[in-house]
Amino acid sequence: MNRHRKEPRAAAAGLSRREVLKAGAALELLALLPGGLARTWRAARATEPGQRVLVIVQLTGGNDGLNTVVPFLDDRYHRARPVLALRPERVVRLNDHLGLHPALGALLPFWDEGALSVVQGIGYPDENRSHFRSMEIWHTARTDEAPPTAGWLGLAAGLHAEHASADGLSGLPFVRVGGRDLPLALAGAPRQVPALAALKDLVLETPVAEGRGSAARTLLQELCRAPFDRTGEAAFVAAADGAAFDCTQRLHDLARTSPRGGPGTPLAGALALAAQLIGAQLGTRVVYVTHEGFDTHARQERAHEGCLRALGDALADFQARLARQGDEHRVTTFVFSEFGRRIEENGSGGTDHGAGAPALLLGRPVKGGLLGPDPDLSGERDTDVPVGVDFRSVYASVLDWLGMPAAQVVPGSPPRLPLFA
Amino acid sequence: MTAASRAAEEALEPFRPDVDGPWDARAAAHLLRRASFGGTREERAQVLAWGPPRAVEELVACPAIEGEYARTLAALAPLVSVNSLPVFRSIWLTRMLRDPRPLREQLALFWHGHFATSIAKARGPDLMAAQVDTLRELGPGPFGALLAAVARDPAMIRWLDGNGNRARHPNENFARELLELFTLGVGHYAERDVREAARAFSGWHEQDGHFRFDAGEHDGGDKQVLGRTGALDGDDVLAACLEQPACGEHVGGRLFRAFVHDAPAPALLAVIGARYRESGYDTLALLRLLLGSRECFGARARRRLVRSPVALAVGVARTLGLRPDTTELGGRLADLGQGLYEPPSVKGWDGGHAWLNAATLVGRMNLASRLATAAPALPAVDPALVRDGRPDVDALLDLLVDGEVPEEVRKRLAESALPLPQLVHVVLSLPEAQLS
Repeated sequence: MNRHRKEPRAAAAGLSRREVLKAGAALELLALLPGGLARTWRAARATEPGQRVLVIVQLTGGNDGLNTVVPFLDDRYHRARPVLALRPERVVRLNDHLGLHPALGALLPFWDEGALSVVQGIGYPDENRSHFRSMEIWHTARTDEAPPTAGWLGLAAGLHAEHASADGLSGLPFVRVGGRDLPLALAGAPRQVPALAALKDLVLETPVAEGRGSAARTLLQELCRAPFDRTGEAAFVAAADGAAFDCTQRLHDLARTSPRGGPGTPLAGALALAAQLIGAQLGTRVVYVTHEGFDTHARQERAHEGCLRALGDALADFQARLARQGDEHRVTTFVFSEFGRRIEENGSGGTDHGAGAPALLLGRPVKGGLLGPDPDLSGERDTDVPVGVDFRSVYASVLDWLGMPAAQVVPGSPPRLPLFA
Repeated sequence: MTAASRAAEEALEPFRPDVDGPWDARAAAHLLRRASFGGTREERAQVLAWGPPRAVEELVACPAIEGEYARTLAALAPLVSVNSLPVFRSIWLTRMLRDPRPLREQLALFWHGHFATSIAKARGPDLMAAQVDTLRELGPGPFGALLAAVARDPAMIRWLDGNGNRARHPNENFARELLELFTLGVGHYAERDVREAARAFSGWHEQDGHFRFDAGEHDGGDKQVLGRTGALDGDDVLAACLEQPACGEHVGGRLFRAFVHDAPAPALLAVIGARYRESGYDTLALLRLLLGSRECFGARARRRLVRSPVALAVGVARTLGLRPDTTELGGRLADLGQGLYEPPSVKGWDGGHAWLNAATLVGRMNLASRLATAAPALPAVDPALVRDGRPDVDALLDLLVDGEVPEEVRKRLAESALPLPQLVHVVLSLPEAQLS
């Protein structure tokens, strides 16, 4: 593990953090600094919890953990998967017995630099094999049967809004990017968390007729967002309209200046937009991205490889973008799936729903290395990879890191994990 | 009988005008939105004149297709050979816009969300359209017959890996969703039921776009599913599901949430479930009960549902008599979160508040602008919206939002002197217009 590269750039530039902070205390100074120094200032400032950003990448469908972080020396692994097992010479080795799927090769440099953590055997007690129930549990951080109305990040967004300045409210503190659906994880905030597939989603078209277009638009915004004497659902929609117009305004210029086109896969595009939002100083703290296609019941080999390649390449591209814009020191990416898959492959060249699986944490702030137990495949036929780490420990740890009140979001004060450097 | 179940029985009694509330233009418009996407001024007057029992009988029906609408469908038929997603979306939207009794299409859309199958994996737009044809044809009838057809539906088999379900290698995908989403709901079956039900459906395959029972791949051994034992096959499992009280509550409850309101009391769900099951799962009969009930016209149900993008666009177009470009509309609705033939997952669309966020709200306003400025021009469509050469704000608000807006909104709109299309754009953007 190369520790040197994890030092804040400020140190490399020969300035103490205190000096840098002092030098940059007046925001306007930033504009006068040359590019390199500006990045240095931002990197130092980024160590403040209030500037940290969590990006969540949800692998939808149940990622096959055993073919993601592969126990390539385990006989049981090879016996259980005559079609799907990856031979030792194919994996990207993390140590003498674990390796990444070759499609994740783009992540190896981060592992070598100590900017990639693998949390093995993550899950929760009595894993539920329903996609929806299990995702619900991940999204709400609760295993009780209470009807799910709020997600863990929806709760966090609500608490954040209580403490944020007016400016924080009109920015994009929590945002779902890359799709127009709102995952349950982000639901339940008093102000609906926005979901963006692209920046143009937030451009309100002006009705053009008889020169009254902008008057109509102003009136429209006023009449939609004002509470007046609205109650019930109408009041809810009016509040959501208010949040929508705030975003519209903030992103208007960004939308006009952002380049057309972009990286190839939907995930890479979503993460590129995430990087853009993070760089735009909109007070963004949490970004939620989804990556589909992991429900590989049949003919898994190529499908899974494609999904993982898209994942690894998009994450590497995202890290490069963050590095270019000087934000890499304040951004951590957490990659999870609702469950892993069975140890044994099925008869369709696929795998059915399982239990424990690895999660990934990527970014300069993370400590790097392995956490949690290696997959224990010694159980009887039709058993699962056991769960050794409760996912809520990761949630609580990242909320601590974000400086957000974990106790009010994740029930039961789970033990923290040493995830961050 | 407990107080809660007595209250539930009473809530399902037929709405009594003047006792439970007025039978007025607002009540008629409410029923039209719930049972017909929405209706024109003339349709509203007709429903008002019918009165509640007849209005429900007339609207909650799927009469034979004939006359002008039959000719419209015949004219669309050759398009099917194009076999593309935008074309099938356009055809379905045209059906929703033109069917004189669009409950048929509302119900097909409901079942599309219930048995949510996506073109993303099912491939073949024609297979998806064929599935929805099945939902349309069998949706109003007994749920058991619909379920049996869906279990054999080629798109469904592709979607949930039916061909991978073989005697020696069961694939649980369909069996799990059958129990969890299509019939019973979480908590009403055990993991073992899923595994054994999967074996019962082994050999239910799809080949060249047709259902095929592959006897050689069917596991004929003994199984135990939901208390039934024996050499069960798929139909035995479906029958076992239908016997469960949970099935009536789960499916009946989803119908209630889609058509009446989204917060039914547990006792109400129990009564609905029992009635549905005892009727042999007669879906149209249940809808007549629900849509004619005191609960449906009560405060809990009024303006309580967030209109889905499809329901909003079709409802507005039907109310104003617009004929939007359905090909373009299909794409816009997908952007707003409701791509026909492409639900986000087998759970369907979450609905409710999940429809609304910054991007989709702005998108709804842009859709409103598009509809308001589409040909034919609005004043030509409904002359009653213009009085003395100027837009009649009160008439417009009555038609589009039952006049139920804050007084300040009405006042500002009246002062604005905006031309009719912009007024329509603003009114359709209001929070009140997003609700049904």
